Amino acid sequence: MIGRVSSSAINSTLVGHIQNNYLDFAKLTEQLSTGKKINSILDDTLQSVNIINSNRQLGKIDIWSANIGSLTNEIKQSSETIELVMEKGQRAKDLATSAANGTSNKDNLISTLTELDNIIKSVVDMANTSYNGNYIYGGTNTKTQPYSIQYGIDADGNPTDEIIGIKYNGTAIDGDWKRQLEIADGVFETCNVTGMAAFGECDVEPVYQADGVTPVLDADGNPTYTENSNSGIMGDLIDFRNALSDTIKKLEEQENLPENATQAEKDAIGAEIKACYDSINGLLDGFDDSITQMTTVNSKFGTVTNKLEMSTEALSTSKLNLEEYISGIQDLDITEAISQWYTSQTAYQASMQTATSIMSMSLLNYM
Amino acid sequence: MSSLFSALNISAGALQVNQSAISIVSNNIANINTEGYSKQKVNLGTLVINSPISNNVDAQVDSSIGVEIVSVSRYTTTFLGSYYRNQISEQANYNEQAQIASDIAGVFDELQGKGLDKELEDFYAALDNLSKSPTDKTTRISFIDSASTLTDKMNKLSSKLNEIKNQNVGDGISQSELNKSKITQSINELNQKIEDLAKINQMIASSQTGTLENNNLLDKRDLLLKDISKYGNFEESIQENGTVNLKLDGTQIIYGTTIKSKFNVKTAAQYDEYCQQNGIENKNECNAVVYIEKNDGSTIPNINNKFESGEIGGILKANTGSEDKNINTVLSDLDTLASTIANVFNEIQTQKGAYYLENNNGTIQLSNANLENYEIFTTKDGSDTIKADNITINSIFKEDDGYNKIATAYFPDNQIDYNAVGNINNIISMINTKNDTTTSGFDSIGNISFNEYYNGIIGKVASNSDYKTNLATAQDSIVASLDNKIKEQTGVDLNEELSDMVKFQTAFSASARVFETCNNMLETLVHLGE
Repeated sequence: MIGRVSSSAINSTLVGHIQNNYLDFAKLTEQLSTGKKINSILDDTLQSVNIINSNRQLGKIDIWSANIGSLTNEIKQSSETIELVMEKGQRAKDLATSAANGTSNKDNLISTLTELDNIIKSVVDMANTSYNGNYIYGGTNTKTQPYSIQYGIDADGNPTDEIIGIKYNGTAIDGDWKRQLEIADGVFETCNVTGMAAFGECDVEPVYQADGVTPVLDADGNPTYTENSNSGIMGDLIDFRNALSDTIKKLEEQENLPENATQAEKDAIGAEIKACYDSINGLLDGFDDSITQMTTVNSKFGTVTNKLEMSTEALSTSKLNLEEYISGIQDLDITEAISQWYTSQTAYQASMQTATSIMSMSLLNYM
Repeated sequence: MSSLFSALNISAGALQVNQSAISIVSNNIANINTEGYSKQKVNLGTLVINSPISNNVDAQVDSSIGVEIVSVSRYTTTFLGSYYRNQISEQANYNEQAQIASDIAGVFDELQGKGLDKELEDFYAALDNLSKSPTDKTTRISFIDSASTLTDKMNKLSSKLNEIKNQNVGDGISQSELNKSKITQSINELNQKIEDLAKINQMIASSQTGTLENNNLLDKRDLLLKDISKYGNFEESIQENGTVNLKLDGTQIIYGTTIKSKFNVKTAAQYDEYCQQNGIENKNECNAVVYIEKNDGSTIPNINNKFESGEIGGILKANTGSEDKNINTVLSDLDTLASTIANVFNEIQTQKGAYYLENNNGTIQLSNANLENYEIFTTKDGSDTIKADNITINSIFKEDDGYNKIATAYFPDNQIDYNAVGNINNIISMINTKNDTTTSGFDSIGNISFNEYYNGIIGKVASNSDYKTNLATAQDSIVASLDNKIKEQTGVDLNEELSDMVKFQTAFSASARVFETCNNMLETLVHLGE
């Protein structure tokens, strides 16, 4: 069968071709002007979903990286604080060592006591350090000062400026003290330890009579205290302070012994003073233990920091990979696209040229 | 022996025939660009007389009496048949569905920042910030803001989808929305075409009473049939006399020259009322219901599912009906997402053991009083069902100090420490909803995460658009190639016409010369006697 061609068929075919070429041309032009192969999910459904997923993952990585940064900073702050407390603890231990050898006179011991009080105050200040407005050693009680110094009372129940205890107000060690941030899908890293675990406490309260106001006095007419807890460096500091002030009292008693005191009385007080020095001496091991306890806590911080550093590296690697992956899908190969663009431009021009020359051709030209 | 007048007559006849032929050529050229016009061809035949010839050579000569036009026929092709019109119907159907599918996909175009993804991401990022500083007013307020941005976006997505739906089938209630919708427009156009076809039928019936065809009317009829097939899948039967009868699923639409049925459309609400009045079970899911009004006064109340293809079928399918990924399923997926997000977070927020912050004269402490009233998400319209279009954030959080009402802390077994304001166990539970989807709250979305479920929606919507566009493109090229074949076979070709013109012109000139010669011969005879 010999095919028949009609002018309208040729016209519509030619117009169709021109439109196809123009579409190609326009599509490439859009890609070139945006620099992206895929500009809308309609361009490539499957790959678009990949891009969306990868972008989402990138968003998560950004959050995790920021969290790791914030964790690292807080841990650094905590670690620095604990090191400073360790220095103070070491100093207190040195003071205890020299006090225990019995060579210091009363005045020396009094100045030691003053230095110790300053040490206690600054250790408490350090344990009350805050980061970003939150107390770092209070567990989840982030808005309550974790440590407060307890002062003694006189026989009438009025407060004195004598330090008798250091109380911990944060979350208990067996409580829910963890403050965590997400560093990977469903993985939370803890950034804190409780002050209790690092420094312990020494909670001391005066004993009152039934009315709750009048203190119960001992045989010498001094107020009595109960110690509810004693642990860590805080316990050691208070123990040392108590032993020191006992020693000073005994030395005072020795000084105040009447001229006519019997040898037995002298010996008795000498023995008591000796016992005081022994008890100070007995505290030295406690200081060592407390410092070891802080070192252990600090090395935990170190472990976490190392882990976080590794996570950071892993995250930045996967971030790079993801970015590369997205770029591979979405970004345009400019060189290829430009050459395609020129080709499609030529095709478009060619189709228009052939169309005009074919459409203008007819027998009319020869009549 | 033939007379000279006979030769004169033959050539005079030939002059007339060729002149008529030229007029057909002229008509062809005039209509070269007319849509639906088929090339017409003059069929010439020898004039014959039935007289005995026997051995009489004169009689034999006398029997040649010239040329006549037997008929004028139009070029037709089998391609122009019902197959072509079915393809047109499919094409309109696919194109309509592809258009709507791509409109829907456009609503979720994440690559152009249009979907829900960014808002979900920001929401979780705000939660994360909250876990860093649970007592900080700024992080609390920014979490509340991100939650309300999320709900706003869900409202917006839902309203955009509904807008697309309204444009196509109205909102199901308001008559004016329905009148503005595409379905009404299509139905009106269809009715107009049916009227036109009935008129053409009438003209054909009164014109084609003999054996000859009225080519121009038949062209018009075919063009109308093609137009009508764009709207739906009609059964046509062409009669002897050239008229065409039309049925839709067995219901007579046009019979001969009369319109038997007309299409109309009502809102879902009106249909619901109709169903109640007539005790019919209402299975309609579409905002618009197409129905038939017969000219005998009876009606067929719902023929939505009778439009298998065509533009009307496409509109109806893309908006409701049996199609898996129509706009209704997308809307209900979005509603499910909204209600699941709301339920999951509300449950964590108000669970037993959860605590929020309370500012007691400057001291911040934990509290759980009235916790059950502090659900994060609720509805705008006070309804019990949270959907994408009514989800909003509980107004309590926007009040002064409301930001403190987000329950950040959680204590199991009543181990409450009212000072543990830095406890973020409840936020961790919220953050974990990203990955841990085993809780019963996630049952409604198949125990996958919000992101995955939302991915499913995007994937479905985009691949549906892709699929429909591909179908439409394929169908376009089928129709285009059919169109081309039809144009090739029935269209007017200028060169053909010009050569015909030269042919008939030459024949005309030659006949004129013969006429002149005969005339000269006659004159010679007349002057013989002078």
